[in-house]
Amino acid sequence: MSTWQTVTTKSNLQLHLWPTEKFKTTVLQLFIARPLDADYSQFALLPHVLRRGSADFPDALSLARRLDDLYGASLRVSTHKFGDRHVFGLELELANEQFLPKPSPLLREGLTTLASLLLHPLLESDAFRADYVQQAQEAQIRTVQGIFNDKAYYAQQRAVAEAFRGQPYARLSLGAVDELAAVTPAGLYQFYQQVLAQGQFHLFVSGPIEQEQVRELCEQTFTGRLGQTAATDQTVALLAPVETGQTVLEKQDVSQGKLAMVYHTGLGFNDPLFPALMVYNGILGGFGHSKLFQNVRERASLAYSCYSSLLPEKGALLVEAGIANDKLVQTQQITAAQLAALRQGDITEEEWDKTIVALRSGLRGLEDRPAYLAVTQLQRMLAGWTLDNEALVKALGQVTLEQVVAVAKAVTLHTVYFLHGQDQSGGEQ
Amino acid sequence: MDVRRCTYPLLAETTYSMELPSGLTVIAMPRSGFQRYYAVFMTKYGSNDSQFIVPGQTQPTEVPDGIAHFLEHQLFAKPWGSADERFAAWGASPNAFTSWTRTGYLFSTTDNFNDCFRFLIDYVLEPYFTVEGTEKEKGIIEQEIGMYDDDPGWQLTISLLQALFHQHPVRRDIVGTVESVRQINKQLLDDCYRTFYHPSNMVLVATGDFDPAVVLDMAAEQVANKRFVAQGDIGRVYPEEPVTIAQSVVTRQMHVALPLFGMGFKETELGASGAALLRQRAVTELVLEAVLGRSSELYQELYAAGLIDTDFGAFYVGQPDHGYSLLQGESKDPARVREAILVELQRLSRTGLDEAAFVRSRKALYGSCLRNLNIPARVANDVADCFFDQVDYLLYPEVLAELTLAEANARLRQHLDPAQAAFAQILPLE
Repeated sequence: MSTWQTVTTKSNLQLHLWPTEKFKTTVLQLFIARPLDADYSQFALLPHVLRRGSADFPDALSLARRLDDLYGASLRVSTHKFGDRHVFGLELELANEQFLPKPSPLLREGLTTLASLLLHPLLESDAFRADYVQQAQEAQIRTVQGIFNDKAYYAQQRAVAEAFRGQPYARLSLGAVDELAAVTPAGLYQFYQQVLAQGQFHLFVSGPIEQEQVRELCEQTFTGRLGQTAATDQTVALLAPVETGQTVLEKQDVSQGKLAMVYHTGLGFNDPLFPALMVYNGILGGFGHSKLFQNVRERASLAYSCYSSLLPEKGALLVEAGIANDKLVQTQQITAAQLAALRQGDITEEEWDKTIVALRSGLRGLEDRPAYLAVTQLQRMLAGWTLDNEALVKALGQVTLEQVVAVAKAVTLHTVYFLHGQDQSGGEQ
Repeated sequence: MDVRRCTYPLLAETTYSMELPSGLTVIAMPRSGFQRYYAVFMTKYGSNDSQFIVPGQTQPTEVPDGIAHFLEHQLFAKPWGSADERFAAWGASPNAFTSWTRTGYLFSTTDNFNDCFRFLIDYVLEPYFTVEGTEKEKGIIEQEIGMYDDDPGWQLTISLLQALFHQHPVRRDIVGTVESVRQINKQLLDDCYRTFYHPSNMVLVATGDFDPAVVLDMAAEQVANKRFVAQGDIGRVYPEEPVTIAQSVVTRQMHVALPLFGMGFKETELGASGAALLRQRAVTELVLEAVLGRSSELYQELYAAGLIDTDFGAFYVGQPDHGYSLLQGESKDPARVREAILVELQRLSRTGLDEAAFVRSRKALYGSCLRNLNIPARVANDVADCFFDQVDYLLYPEVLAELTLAEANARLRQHLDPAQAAFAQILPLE
């Protein structure tokens, strides 16, 4: 299974390499990490301005043609929130040179293109080009507003914002509309220079590569000083438990209610019980065979979609369900019953076995998708976690019932958020 | 039985195939290092096959629309439950699909590949159709029809196909209609199944980090149990389809925020198969990429003017008996997009594509092909689908390398001909 070799270049770029013969492409993923602080909207916008063009490829047509000349290279921007860290990625997938009909220095040219977008921005009078910033702003604002239309995602974001009110984690990784609108070309350029000086720069390269060659090319193409190599094991504040959970109700013109509940688990990535927490979450609501799916959906027919997921850096867990507007109390009761069952170790052999198989299958499947694998690897590294996929697959097989019960006993309700289309007076059936 | 080994040096891939006594072709494509295994069992039978001649008969049989899709649903029903539950127990993800020309049954898994593979063969080749099950399925499929009726993207495609084709069954929805589905009964299912689900009309493709010899032997063993009698070719009957298009403009209204639009170009060069068909597909995809891809002036102009977004795209379908190119997208002003496309096509038919655009587009398609190969499941589906037209999907990069600029320009003029083009739009309800 995958192993990443890490080496830091003279420019402070942290290079993570996974040589593997199974793919036909080389994937380059440049990630910049920084704290999720008051400048988060600028940071969310920045990659969209950078990918618009550079001094070497000043417009969309010249950049598109450059990428197609590189055998249809695909360029993508991604944004992530990992605990209290904010990350954006500029990703380039390149045909691997050994499969080309005639020789071509594709890897060097791909790295040069990526370096150009990052380090040679298109400027006018000490600022990013005004029309590019404006276009990126408008598109980003549309994206953030679009969240409002995806009711399930909206509910999830609202629940997180309420549970982590006043903390960095409450922020949406895509930025806030009013702050995005307030960004100026000159201000953004100044911020960009700060990011270059203070961010953490990671480049993941996977595919049929020769490590020494990649390292050498990176030394040549990424020059200057790139940010800081800050310690990865920063302590992230876990969600504190509360005496009584809070309930937040919001009414909109929706035909189906969206329920999102945040629970405290008290376990971060580095906790020895984390694999047990993964098993707990899997049995509770990670899969079609899980307790939530079987009881809320299959038996009670209350939902089409009902599942749980971890907010791993923050020691929290989310339960989400799309339910009828008048089924809040009933759904909460059934959910509470599943949590109680887990506290008592009321888990069938079938539930246990299917969960372990599904978790391991998911991790193994990740090995076939290098771009997703790299993002997962970055997330773990930023949390200071050292278990790789293979070790984690093994660890999952060693989790005991006692450990899962211990995890279950620490899980407490923190915040209930319900988006609904009708008045929620007390005493529903 | 002889194992046929095919190597593709450009891609560093090899396939191993075997034709079984029953006529079934099995293809095993080992992919070293991959964690997932995948297999697809496909039949050359789709919604277009509503008129056919049963091997040994002379008169055509005609059946209501939607049987291929109905059969796909019903094959999961077994006396002991549903076939997909068995896969779940092995940690595998099963699925199935029906298109106008094919029906496929598949699974993806990281464990228990052998069990899943044997079971795939069993459940597809051992049907369990009942009168009760058939009636029950009608209600479910009626709901599915409704779902597609509400899907604007799908309705745009159907509108374009109806505009391009006067009679050919591709203008009809794959799932049939509520009326046609109501006419389906167990006898019809039995008859269609017996004709089209004969191993000689099917292909089985598997991919993963396995020993291909083991996979081929497993398949041979599993199919031998079923004792099939040899069957001749199935006669495919399609109505007379004029060369001309049926309608040049279609406008509809649905619940959409932004208008959807599309253009379709009807294929006039029919009858190709094998290497000729692969080449026809490759040159058409290259032309579409050059004229409408992200590196084209047309795309960038329309994008900069806010008339299209990154959803905009085009694709080609080339079958021996019918074909078409479709381009689709969203726009605040579909009429302006149409105008711009027609003007550009007129210009390009005069000047032709330049060398740089040709080379760049070919490179882009080559890269896209390589990216596809990173997804073994997708490759398996493509290999299976192409098999029935004697097209070797894995030769695509080699064929791309052989194409010429003159060939591309001839194809552009011949295929992207406004006289053979239909335009459709779906506008927001007032």
